[in-house]
Amino acid sequence: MAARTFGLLGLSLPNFWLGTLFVLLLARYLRWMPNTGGYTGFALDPWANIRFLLFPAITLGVAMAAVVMRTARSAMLDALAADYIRTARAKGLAAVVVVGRHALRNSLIVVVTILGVQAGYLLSGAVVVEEIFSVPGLGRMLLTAITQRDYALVQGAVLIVAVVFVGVNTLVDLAYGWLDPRIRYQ
Amino acid sequence: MAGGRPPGDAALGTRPRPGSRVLRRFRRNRAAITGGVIVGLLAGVALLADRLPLRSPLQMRPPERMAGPSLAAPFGADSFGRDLLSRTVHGARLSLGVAIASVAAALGGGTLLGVVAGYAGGRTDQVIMRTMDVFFSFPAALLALGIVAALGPGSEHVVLAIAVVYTPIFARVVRGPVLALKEREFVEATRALGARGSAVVLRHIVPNLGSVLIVQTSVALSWAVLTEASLSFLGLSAQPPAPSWGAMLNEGRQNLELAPHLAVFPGVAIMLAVLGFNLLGDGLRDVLDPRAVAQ
Repeated sequence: MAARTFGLLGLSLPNFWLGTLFVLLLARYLRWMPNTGGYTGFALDPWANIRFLLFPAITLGVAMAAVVMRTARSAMLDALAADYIRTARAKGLAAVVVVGRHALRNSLIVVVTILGVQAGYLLSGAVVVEEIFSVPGLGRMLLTAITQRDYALVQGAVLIVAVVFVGVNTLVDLAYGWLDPRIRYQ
Repeated sequence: MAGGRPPGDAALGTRPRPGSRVLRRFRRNRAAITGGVIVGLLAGVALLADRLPLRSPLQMRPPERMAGPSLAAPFGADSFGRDLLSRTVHGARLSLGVAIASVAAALGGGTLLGVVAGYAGGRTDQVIMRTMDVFFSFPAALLALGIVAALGPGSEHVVLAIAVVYTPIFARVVRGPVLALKEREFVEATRALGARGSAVVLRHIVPNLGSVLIVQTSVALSWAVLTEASLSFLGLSAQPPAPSWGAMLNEGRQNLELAPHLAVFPGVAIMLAVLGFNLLGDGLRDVLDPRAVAQ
């Protein structure tokens, strides 16, 4: 029940509000602005790069974590009810092995599918979150292009997003075969 | 005639004796009740926004600029000295209005397309569903953003964008059960009695989609509220001075360090609305169990 509540809350928390609250918390109450000085490339200064991206990443991740949790929960419930779990238990395997190797691995297929779909959420959610944290990324560029009616740039950005989205989902399809060796592609 | 209601149809859950059993399960479901109460309260507030004893949401009182919460103005005032409580309440009307209008359009269009595709089958099915797949290949929020960007800002364009994004989802959700229902004995019997296609669909298939549609509508509403808010946050929905939750939150962001309450209250409103519809949808899914239809 507690997990379900957390999942629903995470799902209902608008990422642009969460981001705003993070900025408020950091700037007003903690007086720690990680993004002063702007963006630094990872190769230039890894630590500054991570510090800069930390809160935007958390902001985007919360809703995704909630979705993954809900999906994993229902997939695990389905998997744990299966016959092979009873067999594994009957063989006398430790609970950790039964849950971790038998149930989790099989429910991961559903989780990975959702992750692929969620990549779309990440790509579009990034538009708002990058705006809040002033990250000079693809999403913010897309937004600027839209407001300036720079259609060539909008088309280019959307094309890249679509390619990444399709690419991620292809990787998901490949992951099925690795997770469940019964799945084969010709 | 087979009177619309298939006899002994336990798998379809809601049809025998509509009401009583479902209502009892609904009352026992805490998530559904909580969600229903939140949604009911927000809808009531939105409907009665003009009648409530509030200040005008548009009148500016410069001396009260960014005033914190007080007895006279429980939510404080924004950067133009407008009453934030009143703006939040009127924002409920705008946000829920956009959400309901867009989901209603998607529900109508999507159900029509899904039923036609599922019932007609063959090439019609292929054409409709492959067209829907094209829409699925874009990330949903990005598609909505793109449509609004192409049409220009405005809440009516947001309605259209959300409706376009959600129509394929309704179509896909409806098509499955239609395929299953089409093969059922009671539909076959009705057809054997000489009923026309339209009568079979309207009287025997559509009523059995109720539980699937109710759950999906609730989930769609939560997504619509969230999408409207984020588009409005980006300045693409209702234009100022109209009170829209997302736009209010964005305005509050400019003065975050001086007046944090400006960003807190609209955010709470958005979250409550989304949470309400999510809880209701989750609860209704448990109560109506559309899985029984899918099988």
